[in-house]
Amino acid sequence: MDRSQLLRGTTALLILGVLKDGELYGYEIAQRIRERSAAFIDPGEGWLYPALHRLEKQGALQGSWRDGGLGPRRRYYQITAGGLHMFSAQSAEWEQFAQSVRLVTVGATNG
Amino acid sequence: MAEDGSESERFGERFLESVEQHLPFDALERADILDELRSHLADSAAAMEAKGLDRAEAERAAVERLGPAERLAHELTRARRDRTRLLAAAGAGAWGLVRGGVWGGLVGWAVVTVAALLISTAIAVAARQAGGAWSGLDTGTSAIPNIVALGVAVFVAARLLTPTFAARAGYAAPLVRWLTMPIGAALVLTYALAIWSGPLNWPGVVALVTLPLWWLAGAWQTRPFRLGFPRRIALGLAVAVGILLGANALFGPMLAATDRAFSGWPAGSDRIGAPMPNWAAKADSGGSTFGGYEELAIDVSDRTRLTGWTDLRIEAWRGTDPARGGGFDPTETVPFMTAPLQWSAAGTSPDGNSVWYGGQGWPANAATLTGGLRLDRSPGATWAWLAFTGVDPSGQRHLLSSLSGTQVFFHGTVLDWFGAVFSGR
Repeated sequence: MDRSQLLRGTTALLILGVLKDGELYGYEIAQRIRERSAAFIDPGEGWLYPALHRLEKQGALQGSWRDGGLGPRRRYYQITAGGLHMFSAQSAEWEQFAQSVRLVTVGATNG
Repeated sequence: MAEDGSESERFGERFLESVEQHLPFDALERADILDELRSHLADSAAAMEAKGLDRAEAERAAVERLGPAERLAHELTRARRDRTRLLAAAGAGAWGLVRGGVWGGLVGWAVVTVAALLISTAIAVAARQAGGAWSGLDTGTSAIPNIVALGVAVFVAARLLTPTFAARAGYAAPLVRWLTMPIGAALVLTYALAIWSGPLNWPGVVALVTLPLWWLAGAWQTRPFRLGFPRRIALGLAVAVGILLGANALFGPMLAATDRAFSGWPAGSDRIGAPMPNWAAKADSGGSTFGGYEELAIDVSDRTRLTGWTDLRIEAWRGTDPARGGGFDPTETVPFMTAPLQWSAAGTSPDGNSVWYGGQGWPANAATLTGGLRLDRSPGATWAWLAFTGVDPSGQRHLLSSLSGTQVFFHGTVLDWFGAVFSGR
């Protein structure tokens, strides 16, 4: 199965999921998702920044620039109250969806 | 052969340049997006280097993980678009229009006016050196520099609008111009044809009808444009004004005096009709002008003398300026405009002043004939001879007063102009 297809519907959930534990910058967000998924979700980062910018536009995230020390400055993202609400809703929906898929696939195996 | 660090960094920068080329935002917003991607590439490459890749390979791998530059830029652009951006773009575009219009109008007006003065001065000096005199531009031609300045204002306004709106809305400027060009050109054309109103001649009409071309030329440009203080233009204007002042000091007043006072009968006036009957000499005429509307009146000492006369009217004949050997236009066989005359009640003056000429009381049968003409609606007419006429019972048309001459010019919109041309005025 093409994992990028699965990722497309869950990008917001994954980003909000790692940011609810604290603010991070783009590369850290990608790394955190990779670590938590035991490298299962690691399709490259082309999807990440458009999703971050979209969530910021929607008010789910708030970005702020910080000096990058010797390197370029970094943009940190923090989840907002709206983002937490969005995470709860999407998380519940995802759980229900995953459970439904499991029920269907288990049923098919047993049947 | 392994690439050194500087080459690998250039690979990353080339990727970022390619992303930037496809981002339709303003410079500040592009810089923010690129800084974020730059820091990502640095972190990602450093992590891969730590895993054993050399620097160039790490840089390439970091870039590859972000995918094709064009697709990334496209996705970022889509992500950043929303309805509020469109509203902000409309506001920024409107502000750009105003700023560009005012800036272009002022600079254009200054440049075109000084250029027109320089050209006029050169012509006047040349005419004087040749032993003649030049009395300046006619009224219609004098308006052309203002129309050209308007064109410059339209160009700069359009030049600002396309890239400003595109950057704020998050759409590519080459796409946005296909929206700004036709809509703006249609609005400018509407203004040029139906709203702008002033003295016109054929060159002025052409200058107005081509005003949308200024818009199209400005709106076609997609690169950002900054308004600044035009030092070269200011220097050029200062030099030009110096030349004008110097020419004035050397040669004195440039234009020939235009004394248009005229008495007697202009050449060709006999084509109107038979000379005035003797009794008409006792009449007197006068007139007043409101805008382009000329109202004329003639006091007739005995209106019964006109019993049986028909078609009492004012006639306006195309002529030439008395200051230039004025007379009737030799090609004219009919007046270019006429208006009927109305009688006032006999025995009283229309204004209530009952004193007749020479201090006598208003004669019992005296009355006033009044009529009016709109003389600023005739393309090509620069001088008009006005006469009161009527047809006697035998069918002969007579002049009822002496002729008066007046300078005229077309004043109105381009649509008025074409309306007048097609109706033969």
